[in-house]
Amino acid sequence: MYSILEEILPAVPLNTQVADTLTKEQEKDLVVRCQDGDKHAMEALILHYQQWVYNIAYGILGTREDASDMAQEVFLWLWENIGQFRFRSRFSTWLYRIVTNRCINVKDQKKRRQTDAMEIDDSQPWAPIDTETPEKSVLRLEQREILQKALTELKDDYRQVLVLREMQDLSYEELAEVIGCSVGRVKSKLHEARKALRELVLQFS
Amino acid sequence: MSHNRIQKQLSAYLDDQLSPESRARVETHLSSCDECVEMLSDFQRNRQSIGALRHEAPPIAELVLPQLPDRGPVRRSFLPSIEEIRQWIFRPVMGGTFAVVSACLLFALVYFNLTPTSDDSLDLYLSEHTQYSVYYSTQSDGATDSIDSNGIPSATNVEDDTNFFLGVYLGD
Ligand SMILES: [Zn+2]
Repeated sequence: MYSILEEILPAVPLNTQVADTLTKEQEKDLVVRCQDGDKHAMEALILHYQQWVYNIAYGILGTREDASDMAQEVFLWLWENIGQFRFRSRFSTWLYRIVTNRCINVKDQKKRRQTDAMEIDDSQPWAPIDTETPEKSVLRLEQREILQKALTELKDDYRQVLVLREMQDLSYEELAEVIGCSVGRVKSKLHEARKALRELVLQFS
Repeated sequence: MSHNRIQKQLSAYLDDQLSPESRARVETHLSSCDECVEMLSDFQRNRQSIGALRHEAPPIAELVLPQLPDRGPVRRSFLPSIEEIRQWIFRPVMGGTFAVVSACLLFALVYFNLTPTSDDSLDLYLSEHTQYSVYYSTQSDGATDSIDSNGIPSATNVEDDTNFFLGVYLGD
Protein backbone atom coordinates (compact mmCIF):
# COMPACT_ATOMS: atom_id res chain seq x y z
CA MET A 1 0.00 0.00 0.00
CA TYR A 2 1.00 3.59 -0.58
CA SER A 3 2.36 5.45 2.37
CA ILE A 4 0.39 8.50 1.31
CA LEU A 5 -2.80 6.46 1.62
CA GLU A 6 -2.09 5.85 5.26
CA GLU A 7 -1.79 9.56 5.74
CA ILE A 8 -5.09 10.18 4.05
CA LEU A 9 -7.07 7.37 5.66
CA PRO A 10 -9.36 7.26 7.43
CA ALA A 11 -11.45 10.33 6.68
CA VAL A 12 -11.35 12.13 10.00
CA PRO A 13 -13.70 15.03 10.65
CA LEU A 14 -11.58 18.16 10.92
CA ASN A 15 -13.80 20.23 13.10
CA THR A 16 -15.65 19.25 16.17
CA GLN A 17 -19.21 20.39 15.85
CA VAL A 18 -20.37 22.99 18.28
CA ALA A 19 -23.90 23.57 17.11
CA ASP A 20 -25.00 20.00 17.70
CA THR A 21 -24.54 20.22 21.42
CA LEU A 22 -28.05 21.73 21.60
CA THR A 23 -30.74 19.06 21.55
CA LYS A 24 -33.70 19.52 19.24
CA GLU A 25 -35.90 20.29 22.24
CA GLN A 26 -33.52 22.88 23.66
CA GLU A 27 -33.26 24.49 20.25
CA LYS A 28 -37.04 24.57 19.89
CA ASP A 29 -37.49 26.01 23.37
CA LEU A 30 -35.02 28.81 22.66
CA VAL A 31 -36.63 29.65 19.33
CA VAL A 32 -40.15 29.74 20.81
CA ARG A 33 -38.98 32.04 23.61
CA CYS A 34 -37.25 34.26 21.06
CA GLN A 35 -40.44 34.43 19.04
CA ASP A 36 -42.22 35.54 22.21
CA GLY A 37 -39.74 38.38 22.65
CA ASP A 38 -37.38 36.93 25.29
CA LYS A 39 -33.99 38.65 24.86
CA HIS A 40 -32.22 36.19 27.15
CA ALA A 41 -33.19 33.37 24.81
CA MET A 42 -31.90 35.44 21.90
CA GLU A 43 -28.64 35.97 23.73
CA ALA A 44 -28.31 32.22 24.22
CA LEU A 45 -28.97 31.62 20.51
CA ILE A 46 -26.38 34.20 19.46
CA LEU A 47 -23.76 32.83 21.84
CA HIS A 48 -24.43 29.38 20.53
CA TYR A 49 -24.31 30.15 16.82
CA GLN A 50 -22.01 33.18 16.55
CA GLN A 51 -18.88 31.14 15.75
CA TRP A 52 -20.69 29.26 13.03
CA VAL A 53 -22.41 32.22 11.47
CA TYR A 54 -19.27 34.34 11.56
CA ASN A 55 -17.02 31.64 10.10
CA ILE A 56 -19.42 30.75 7.29
CA ALA A 57 -19.59 34.44 6.43
CA TYR A 58 -15.81 34.68 6.62
CA GLY A 59 -15.40 31.67 4.33
CA ILE A 60 -17.69 33.14 1.71
CA LEU A 61 -16.92 36.86 2.00
CA GLY A 62 -13.20 36.61 2.73
CA THR A 63 -12.60 39.45 5.17
CA ARG A 64 -13.00 39.54 8.93
CA GLU A 65 -14.68 42.92 8.81
CA ASP A 66 -17.31 41.84 6.29
CA ALA A 67 -17.87 38.61 8.22
CA SER A 68 -18.40 40.48 11.48
CA ASP A 69 -20.82 42.93 9.82
CA MET A 70 -22.68 40.06 8.21
CA ALA A 71 -22.96 38.09 11.45
CA GLN A 72 -24.41 41.11 13.27
CA GLU A 73 -26.78 41.82 10.41
CA VAL A 74 -28.00 38.22 10.39
CA PHE A 75 -28.75 38.19 14.13
CA LEU A 76 -30.50 41.55 13.97
CA TRP A 77 -32.60 40.26 11.07
CA LEU A 78 -33.27 37.09 13.02
CA TRP A 79 -34.67 38.98 15.99
CA GLU A 80 -37.30 40.62 13.78
CA ASN A 81 -38.00 37.66 11.50
CA ILE A 82 -37.68 34.57 13.66
CA GLY A 83 -41.44 34.10 13.21
CA GLN A 84 -40.63 32.86 9.72
CA PHE A 85 -39.07 29.72 11.15
CA ARG A 86 -41.75 27.03 11.08
CA PHE A 87 -39.96 24.11 12.80
CA ARG A 88 -39.94 22.07 9.62
CA SER A 89 -36.17 21.61 9.68
CA ARG A 90 -33.41 22.00 12.22
CA PHE A 91 -33.05 25.61 13.24
CA SER A 92 -29.32 25.42 12.50
CA THR A 93 -29.83 24.41 8.84
CA TRP A 94 -32.40 27.16 8.40
CA LEU A 95 -29.96 29.67 9.87
CA TYR A 96 -27.07 28.49 7.66
CA ARG A 97 -29.26 28.81 4.61
CA ILE A 98 -30.04 32.40 5.54
CA VAL A 99 -26.37 33.20 6.15
CA THR A 100 -25.08 31.66 2.92
CA ASN A 101 -27.82 33.22 0.80
CA ARG A 102 -27.21 36.65 2.28
CA CYS A 103 -23.45 36.34 1.84
CA ILE A 104 -23.82 35.38 -1.80
CA ASN A 105 -26.25 38.26 -2.39
CA VAL A 106 -23.84 40.73 -0.77
CA LYS A 107 -20.98 39.38 -2.88
CA ASP A 108 -23.04 39.72 -6.04
CA GLN A 109 -23.91 43.31 -5.20
CA LYS A 110 -20.30 44.10 -4.42
CA LYS A 111 -19.15 42.57 -7.68
CA ARG A 112 -21.71 44.59 -9.60
CA ARG A 113 -20.70 47.81 -7.84
CA GLN A 114 -17.04 47.13 -8.52
CA THR A 115 -17.53 46.51 -12.21
CA ASP A 116 -19.82 49.54 -12.42
CA ALA A 117 -17.44 51.95 -10.73
CA MET A 118 -14.22 50.16 -11.69
CA GLU A 119 -13.08 50.57 -8.11
CA ILE A 120 -10.15 48.51 -6.94
CA ASP A 121 -10.68 46.33 -3.92
CA ASP A 122 -7.50 46.47 -1.88
CA SER A 123 -8.80 44.57 1.12
CA GLN A 124 -6.97 41.29 1.67
CA PRO A 125 -9.34 38.37 1.32
CA TRP A 126 -8.93 35.50 3.78
CA ALA A 127 -6.03 37.35 5.40
CA PRO A 128 -3.95 35.07 7.61
CA ILE A 129 -4.65 35.06 11.28
CA ASP A 130 -1.18 35.31 12.79
CA THR A 131 -0.86 33.17 15.86
CA GLU A 132 2.09 31.08 14.71
CA THR A 133 5.89 31.18 14.90
CA PRO A 134 7.48 33.33 12.16
CA GLU A 135 9.12 30.41 10.27
CA LYS A 136 5.98 28.38 10.22
CA SER A 137 3.88 31.31 9.21
CA VAL A 138 6.13 32.21 6.22
CA LEU A 139 5.58 28.76 4.73
CA ARG A 140 1.94 28.86 5.63
CA LEU A 141 1.54 32.34 4.24
CA GLU A 142 2.53 31.21 0.78
CA GLN A 143 0.14 28.27 0.80
CA ARG A 144 -2.54 30.47 2.21
CA GLU A 145 -2.08 33.15 -0.43
CA ILE A 146 -2.52 30.53 -3.12
CA LEU A 147 -5.63 29.20 -1.42
CA GLN A 148 -7.01 32.72 -1.06
CA LYS A 149 -6.49 33.46 -4.71
CA ALA A 150 -8.07 30.17 -5.71
CA LEU A 151 -11.06 30.74 -3.43
CA THR A 152 -11.59 34.22 -4.88
CA GLU A 153 -11.69 32.80 -8.38
CA LEU A 154 -14.05 29.99 -7.49
CA LYS A 155 -17.73 30.10 -8.47
CA ASP A 156 -19.97 31.23 -5.59
CA ASP A 157 -21.92 27.99 -5.28
CA TYR A 158 -18.68 25.99 -5.24
CA ARG A 159 -17.26 28.21 -2.51
CA GLN A 160 -20.50 27.87 -0.56
CA VAL A 161 -20.46 24.07 -0.58
CA LEU A 162 -16.74 23.94 0.22
CA VAL A 163 -17.00 26.35 3.14
CA LEU A 164 -19.93 24.44 4.62
CA ARG A 165 -18.23 21.09 4.19
CA GLU A 166 -14.50 21.71 4.73
CA MET A 167 -14.76 24.50 7.25
CA GLN A 168 -17.96 23.69 9.11
CA ASP A 169 -18.02 19.95 8.46
CA LEU A 170 -21.73 19.76 7.65
CA SER A 171 -22.98 16.28 6.73
CA TYR A 172 -24.23 15.57 3.20
CA GLU A 173 -27.81 15.58 4.49
CA GLU A 174 -27.35 18.97 6.15
CA LEU A 175 -25.71 20.30 2.99
CA ALA A 176 -28.67 19.11 0.93
CA GLU A 177 -31.03 20.96 3.23
CA VAL A 178 -29.02 24.17 3.34
CA ILE A 179 -28.37 24.30 -0.40
CA GLY A 180 -31.83 23.00 -1.31
CA CYS A 181 -30.95 20.00 -3.45
CA SER A 182 -30.70 16.22 -3.23
CA VAL A 183 -27.93 14.33 -1.43
CA GLY A 184 -26.89 12.94 -4.81
CA ARG A 185 -26.47 16.44 -6.15
CA VAL A 186 -24.45 17.41 -3.06
CA LYS A 187 -22.11 14.52 -3.80
CA SER A 188 -21.49 15.55 -7.38
CA LYS A 189 -21.35 19.26 -6.61
CA LEU A 190 -18.79 18.71 -3.88
CA HIS A 191 -16.67 16.68 -6.27
CA GLU A 192 -16.90 19.38 -8.97
CA ALA A 193 -16.06 22.08 -6.42
CA ARG A 194 -13.04 20.22 -5.06
CA LYS A 195 -11.82 19.53 -8.57
CA ALA A 196 -12.23 23.18 -9.57
CA LEU A 197 -10.41 24.37 -6.45
CA ARG A 198 -7.61 21.87 -7.00
CA GLU A 199 -7.12 23.05 -10.58
CA LEU A 200 -6.96 26.68 -9.46
CA VAL A 201 -4.52 25.90 -6.65
CA LEU A 202 -2.27 23.99 -9.08
CA GLN A 203 -2.51 26.84 -11.55
CA PHE A 204 -1.39 29.41 -8.97
CA SER A 205 1.33 27.22 -7.40
CA MET B 1 -14.09 0.02 -12.91
CA SER B 2 -12.50 2.68 -15.07
CA HIS B 3 -10.12 5.35 -13.87
CA ASN B 4 -12.63 8.09 -14.74
CA ARG B 5 -15.45 6.55 -12.77
CA ILE B 6 -13.21 5.97 -9.77
CA GLN B 7 -12.03 9.56 -9.96
CA LYS B 8 -15.61 10.80 -9.66
CA GLN B 9 -15.92 8.88 -6.40
CA LEU B 10 -12.78 10.23 -4.75
CA SER B 11 -14.59 13.10 -3.11
CA ALA B 12 -17.23 10.80 -1.61
CA TYR B 13 -14.42 8.44 -0.60
CA LEU B 14 -12.68 11.24 1.26
CA ASP B 15 -15.90 11.94 3.16
CA ASP B 16 -16.48 8.25 3.87
CA GLN B 17 -19.75 8.27 1.92
CA LEU B 18 -19.22 5.09 -0.11
CA SER B 19 -20.61 1.62 0.41
CA PRO B 20 -18.04 -0.95 1.61
CA GLU B 21 -17.92 -2.47 -1.89
CA SER B 22 -17.31 0.85 -3.66
CA ARG B 23 -14.79 1.76 -1.02
CA ALA B 24 -12.90 -1.46 -1.64
CA ARG B 25 -12.97 -0.86 -5.40
CA VAL B 26 -11.59 2.67 -4.95
CA GLU B 27 -8.82 1.39 -2.68
CA THR B 28 -7.83 -1.34 -5.15
CA HIS B 29 -7.64 1.27 -7.90
CA LEU B 30 -5.64 3.66 -5.71
CA SER B 31 -2.99 1.03 -5.16
CA SER B 32 -2.18 1.15 -8.87
CA CYS B 33 -3.02 4.71 -9.99
CA ASP B 34 -0.72 7.56 -9.03
CA GLU B 35 -2.93 10.16 -10.63
CA CYS B 36 -5.90 9.31 -8.42
CA VAL B 37 -3.70 9.14 -5.30
CA GLU B 38 -2.41 12.60 -6.10
CA MET B 39 -5.89 13.97 -6.60
CA LEU B 40 -7.11 12.48 -3.34
CA SER B 41 -4.20 13.89 -1.40
CA ASP B 42 -4.77 17.34 -2.96
CA PHE B 43 -8.43 17.16 -1.96
CA GLN B 44 -7.38 16.28 1.56
CA ARG B 45 -4.80 19.06 1.76
CA ASN B 46 -7.21 21.69 0.46
CA ARG B 47 -9.81 20.48 2.93
CA GLN B 48 -7.34 21.02 5.75
CA SER B 49 -6.31 24.43 4.43
CA ILE B 50 -9.90 25.63 4.27
CA GLY B 51 -10.55 24.17 7.71
CA ALA B 52 -7.57 26.15 8.99
CA LEU B 53 -9.23 29.41 7.97
CA ARG B 54 -11.62 28.96 10.87
CA HIS B 55 -10.87 31.23 13.76
CA GLU B 56 -12.34 32.83 16.83
CA ALA B 57 -15.20 35.20 16.04
CA PRO B 58 -15.28 38.71 17.48
CA PRO B 59 -17.80 39.13 20.33
CA ILE B 60 -20.88 39.21 18.11
CA ALA B 61 -23.31 38.82 21.01
CA GLU B 62 -21.86 41.86 22.78
CA LEU B 63 -22.17 43.91 19.61
CA VAL B 64 -25.68 42.77 18.73
CA LEU B 65 -27.51 42.66 22.06
CA PRO B 66 -27.52 46.44 22.74
CA GLN B 67 -28.96 46.96 19.25
CA LEU B 68 -31.96 44.66 19.73
CA PRO B 69 -35.17 46.67 20.07
CA ASP B 70 -37.73 45.57 22.66
CA ARG B 71 -40.64 43.79 21.11
CA GLY B 72 -43.56 41.56 21.95
CA PRO B 73 -44.26 38.18 20.34
CA VAL B 74 -43.63 38.12 16.58
CA ARG B 75 -46.25 37.05 14.10
CA ARG B 76 -45.63 33.38 13.38
CA SER B 77 -45.89 32.47 9.76
CA PHE B 78 -47.52 29.22 8.72
CA LEU B 79 -47.04 29.69 5.02
CA PRO B 80 -43.73 28.90 3.34
CA SER B 81 -41.62 31.95 2.57
CA ILE B 82 -40.95 33.05 -1.01
CA GLU B 83 -37.40 31.77 -0.61
CA GLU B 84 -38.65 28.30 0.36
CA ILE B 85 -41.08 28.16 -2.56
CA ARG B 86 -38.33 29.25 -4.91
CA GLN B 87 -35.97 26.58 -3.62
CA TRP B 88 -38.70 23.98 -3.89
CA ILE B 89 -39.56 24.81 -7.49
CA PHE B 90 -35.96 25.06 -8.61
CA ARG B 91 -34.94 21.69 -7.23
CA PRO B 92 -33.76 19.68 -10.23
CA VAL B 93 -36.37 16.98 -9.58
CA MET B 94 -39.17 19.52 -9.29
CA GLY B 95 -37.91 21.34 -12.36
CA GLY B 96 -38.07 18.10 -14.37
CA THR B 97 -41.53 17.22 -13.07
CA PHE B 98 -42.74 20.72 -13.79
CA ALA B 99 -41.44 20.49 -17.37
CA VAL B 100 -43.06 17.08 -17.96
CA VAL B 101 -46.43 18.15 -16.52
CA SER B 102 -46.50 21.34 -18.59
CA ALA B 103 -45.58 19.39 -21.73
CA CYS B 104 -48.46 16.96 -21.06
CA LEU B 105 -50.91 19.79 -20.46
CA LEU B 106 -49.84 21.54 -23.63
CA PHE B 107 -50.16 18.34 -25.62
CA ALA B 108 -53.62 17.63 -24.20
CA LEU B 109 -54.73 21.15 -24.99
CA VAL B 110 -53.53 20.97 -28.58
CA TYR B 111 -54.84 17.44 -29.06
CA PHE B 112 -58.37 18.12 -27.85
CA ASN B 113 -58.63 21.39 -29.71
CA LEU B 114 -57.59 19.93 -33.03
CA THR B 115 -59.73 16.79 -32.86
CA PRO B 116 -63.25 18.03 -33.38
CA THR B 117 -66.23 16.04 -32.19
CA SER B 118 -68.70 14.76 -34.78
CA ASP B 119 -71.24 17.49 -34.03
CA ASP B 120 -68.60 20.13 -34.70
CA SER B 121 -67.72 18.60 -38.03
CA LEU B 122 -71.36 18.42 -39.03
CA ASP B 123 -71.85 22.07 -38.10
CA LEU B 124 -68.71 23.02 -39.93
CA TYR B 125 -69.70 21.02 -42.96
CA LEU B 126 -73.17 22.50 -43.10
CA SER B 127 -72.03 26.07 -42.61
CA GLU B 128 -69.33 25.80 -45.26
CA HIS B 129 -71.59 24.16 -47.78
CA THR B 130 -74.46 26.48 -47.13
CA GLN B 131 -72.13 29.32 -48.01
CA TYR B 132 -71.04 27.58 -51.18
CA SER B 133 -74.62 26.77 -52.07
CA VAL B 134 -75.73 30.33 -51.60
CA TYR B 135 -72.70 31.61 -53.47
CA TYR B 136 -73.09 29.31 -56.43
CA SER B 137 -76.82 29.59 -56.70
CA THR B 138 -76.40 33.34 -57.08
CA GLN B 139 -73.33 33.16 -59.35
CA SER B 140 -74.22 30.47 -61.84
CA ASP B 141 -77.57 29.66 -63.29
CA GLY B 142 -77.45 26.22 -61.89
CA ALA B 143 -77.41 22.98 -63.61
CA THR B 144 -73.90 22.10 -64.74
CA ASP B 145 -72.24 19.06 -63.32
CA SER B 146 -68.76 20.48 -63.68
CA ILE B 147 -65.92 21.60 -61.46
CA ASP B 148 -65.19 25.31 -61.82
CA SER B 149 -61.80 26.88 -62.44
CA ASN B 150 -61.01 27.10 -58.72
CA GLY B 151 -61.56 23.42 -58.21
CA ILE B 152 -64.65 24.03 -56.16
CA PRO B 153 -67.66 21.93 -57.02
CA SER B 154 -70.43 23.93 -58.52
CA ALA B 155 -73.82 24.39 -56.93
CA THR B 156 -75.54 21.21 -58.00
CA ASN B 157 -72.70 19.03 -56.78
CA VAL B 158 -72.63 20.82 -53.50
CA GLU B 159 -76.30 20.21 -52.91
CA ASP B 160 -75.93 16.52 -53.74
CA ASP B 161 -73.02 16.26 -51.36
CA THR B 162 -74.96 17.98 -48.64
CA ASN B 163 -77.79 15.53 -48.92
CA PHE B 164 -75.41 12.62 -48.97
CA PHE B 165 -73.47 13.69 -45.88
CA LEU B 166 -76.60 14.67 -44.03
CA GLY B 167 -77.84 11.18 -44.65
CA VAL B 168 -74.63 9.69 -43.28
CA TYR B 169 -74.58 11.88 -40.19
CA LEU B 170 -78.21 11.50 -39.34
CA GLY B 171 -78.04 7.76 -39.98
CA ASP B 172 -80.67 7.98 -42.61
ZN1 LIG C 1 -6.97 6.52 -11.46
